[in-house]
Amino acid sequence: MKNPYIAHPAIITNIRQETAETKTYTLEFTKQKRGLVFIPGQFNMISLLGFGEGPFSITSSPLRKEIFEHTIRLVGSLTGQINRLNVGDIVGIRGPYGSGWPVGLAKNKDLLIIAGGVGLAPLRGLIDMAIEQRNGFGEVEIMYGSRKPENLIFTSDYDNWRSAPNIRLFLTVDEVPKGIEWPYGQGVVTNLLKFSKINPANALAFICGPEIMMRFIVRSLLIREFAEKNIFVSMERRMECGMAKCGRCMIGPKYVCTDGPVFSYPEVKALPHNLLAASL
Amino acid sequence: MQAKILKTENLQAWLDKLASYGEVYAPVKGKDTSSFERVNAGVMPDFSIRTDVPPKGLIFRQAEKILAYTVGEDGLEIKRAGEEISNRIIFGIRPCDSRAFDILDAALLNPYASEYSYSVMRERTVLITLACNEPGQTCFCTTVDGSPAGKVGNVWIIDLGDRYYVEALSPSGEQVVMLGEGLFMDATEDDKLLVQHKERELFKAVSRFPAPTVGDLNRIFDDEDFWKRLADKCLSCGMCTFLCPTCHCYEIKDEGNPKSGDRYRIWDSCMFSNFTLAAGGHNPRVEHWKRLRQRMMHKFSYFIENSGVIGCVGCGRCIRSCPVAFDVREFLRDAALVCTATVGSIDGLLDRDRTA
Repeated sequence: MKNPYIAHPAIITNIRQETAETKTYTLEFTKQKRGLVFIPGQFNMISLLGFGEGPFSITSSPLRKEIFEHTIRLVGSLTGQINRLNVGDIVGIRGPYGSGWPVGLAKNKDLLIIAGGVGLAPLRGLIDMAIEQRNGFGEVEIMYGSRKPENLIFTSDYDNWRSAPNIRLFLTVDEVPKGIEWPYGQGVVTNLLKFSKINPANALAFICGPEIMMRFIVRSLLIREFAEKNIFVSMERRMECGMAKCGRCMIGPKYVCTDGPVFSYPEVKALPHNLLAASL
Repeated sequence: MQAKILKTENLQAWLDKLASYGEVYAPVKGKDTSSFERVNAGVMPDFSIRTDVPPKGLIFRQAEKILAYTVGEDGLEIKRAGEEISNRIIFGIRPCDSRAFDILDAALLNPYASEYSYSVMRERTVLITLACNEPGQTCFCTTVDGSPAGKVGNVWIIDLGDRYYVEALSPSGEQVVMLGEGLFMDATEDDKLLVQHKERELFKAVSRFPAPTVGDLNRIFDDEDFWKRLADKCLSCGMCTFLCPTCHCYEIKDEGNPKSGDRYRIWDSCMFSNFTLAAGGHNPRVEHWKRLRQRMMHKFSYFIENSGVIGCVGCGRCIRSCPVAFDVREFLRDAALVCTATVGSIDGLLDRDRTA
């Protein structure tokens, strides 16, 4: 029988600084030849042996299997240790885990992608996939907000996203520090929805960000006549196992690690916690 | 296999023969606590006690090494850990504790992945369940779908005074009964009738009380006052979770340095405030009443929704061990009462179907 806790060594082949506290790591398995087969929105457990293990979204396109990326913000002790790693260092990987975005359902649909802060991480693979398979999806609108311009991640991707046909990127920040030039929106990400041109009847909405943000986004989408079943959110909870056992990530009877992290809005709504309650 | 009869004076002889199958564990009275211990020369089992500590840890160990790692010339090497595990028998486990392993199976051998060490230990362990002739004061197995005479595990035995009635319930059970060949006689029709009668009487001997349905609990989930009142005296010490035969929440911890070390799976408790604390400070269950609510909801609602069984076997250890006398039976009665008061008449209370 297989020991599901076994992590596979992967080498860091590139590190890109996204913000002062966030980096994107490119990884490649050192022994496992098959690469990583995953759905965007899924996550890996990354091990730094001797320090521990944590769940992190896979942020690269699923069409590139031999290498994969993780975008990690320095927030705690494990991420603090990861932040010190260099190209050539080895980490342990087990995964992928979780539900991922419903890419099958999204085929030929328009996509409304809404993210706050580092919440863009689990959506980047989906965006890249929609660009690489441009004929497989309809129009794509990306609405992204963060606290300040300096907190935006994946800025080096924006030109690529903007130049792809029928993809529109809208940015907003809460606050623009003095002396910084900022030609885009200011205020909460919900404000960007007024720029949306896609028809909710033929679109899916994919959302990731702080729960308070997702709550307001869902409310706005329902007002714009998005059907509840066409709204998907990615949730975040502390996890240890990733296999619906350790009990940490439970929200009501659901395990974020296996039932999620991507949930449809009706699934979240059915939970006893009123998490993203969007009373109109 | 035909049910057997074992004379009381031959019990020790059977126990001795079982040692050829593997390690034998049985209830033993210690200085301060009673627990399941390896029975060797000098360690006498005491089948009259219901142990303070459940045998859960014999299969789902408190600290389990799950892998070992070294960084050598070939880079990082991550190896499966764990010593060879021998066959073992848990002798005299009570029906509630035996059933707890079925519940742990549902949680730990779920379709996503089998908990490796647990599944190996579970496969190598034979449970010889002893029916409870005298229920304890805090026992409530019959309220949570169990029975003091419940036929669970691999072998089921019941004390008939001068003899034991022995029934193998699985192939591995038959194997360990066969080890005592020569010590057993076939049970007669009269023995079987007597046992059936005892089963019914024992079931009646444990008082049953109304418990809330899944729907009830979902309805009172948002009743903050109810949960705050319930948790008023709770210290969040986690004693109930550590002595619970079905609690299985855990954490994963490394011991060692970046060059070499081991990774362990260690029992944890949903009652602890840092249990759900994420890096960055987000904690969905900061308040202790939310943690108690999670524990109660998990056992009496979520577990049923996910696995079709109640996550509690009614052993009563949490009641006996709680330093501030939190009584889960009171919670169940109160929850059922609150719901009946709000959604129906008091008459409906007596014939509620928990799984409805």
